[in-house]
Amino acid sequence: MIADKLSSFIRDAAPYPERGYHLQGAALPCNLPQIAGVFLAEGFHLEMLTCQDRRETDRVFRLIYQFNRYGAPQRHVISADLSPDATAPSIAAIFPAADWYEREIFDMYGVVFDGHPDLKRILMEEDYVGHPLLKNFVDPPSPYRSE
Amino acid sequence: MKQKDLPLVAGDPKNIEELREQIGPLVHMDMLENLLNHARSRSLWPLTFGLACCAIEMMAAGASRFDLDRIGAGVFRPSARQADVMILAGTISRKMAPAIKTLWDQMPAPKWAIAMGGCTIDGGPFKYPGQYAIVEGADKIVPVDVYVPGCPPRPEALFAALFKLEEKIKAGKKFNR
Repeated sequence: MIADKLSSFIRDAAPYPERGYHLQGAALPCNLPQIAGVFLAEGFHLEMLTCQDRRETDRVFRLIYQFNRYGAPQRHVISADLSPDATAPSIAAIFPAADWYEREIFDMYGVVFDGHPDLKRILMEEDYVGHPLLKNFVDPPSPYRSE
Repeated sequence: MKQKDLPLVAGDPKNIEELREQIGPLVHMDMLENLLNHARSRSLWPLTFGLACCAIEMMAAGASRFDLDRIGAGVFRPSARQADVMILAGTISRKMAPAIKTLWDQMPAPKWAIAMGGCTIDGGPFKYPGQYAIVEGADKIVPVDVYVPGCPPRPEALFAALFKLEEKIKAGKKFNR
């Protein structure tokens, strides 16, 4: 079972009837590549990777990885809390789908992923300053805006 | 014209300017320019270029039901070097803006721009204080000749815009002699 293989990495796992996921758990950021490796070996794909700016409440960035596969048990959600000055390990070498997700998180939140093949902005223009989805974001003056 | 009264001094640029004003241009090109403008207005070649959902309406306008070819504007060119009119059809993201500017600069003059839909007029539904993603109006990047309101405008509205542009081209010379 996948839950057994992940049991050494995951704290606070919640069961399916409670959360609507077959497994939802928190992990340490340093364990993410190993966890991704386990999911890959079990035939999962990376369905989503996103981030939350929780610096005001918890003083962390929360990375949220969602894995899925065509067959039970299906959807698994792993979150990892990252202190704001730390870097996260990249899983782009394990799941190529993570490549652009990690670029998006870098673009929108400024989280740096160690070992990413080409970590640059993906949505904003390349000379843009700032990270728009941070809670304390203020957009710098732009010639493309009216006011 | 009283050419005899003119105090002609050779090599004096001031007098040459006065002389030009009094006798007018030596060769009249108006007829030729009118003819050229008429031809231009009836063979507007748009750039093959869609930005968002308005491009679907632009494609509908180009296809057989509405058929832009009826007014000579159906020859969508895949190269900016061959295009006369840029139909800005859809939301302009900030990341796209430099590419659009490059395409506009690559188009040979005389050239015209149509801002199609609310997004290209002023940002449309995506404009709010502090937005970081879009260009609030195509006229921030290129000089726009005709604005087409709608979200998206129907193909008939795009036709109306092209007719307005035809009127503008036929009405006068955009570029000075």
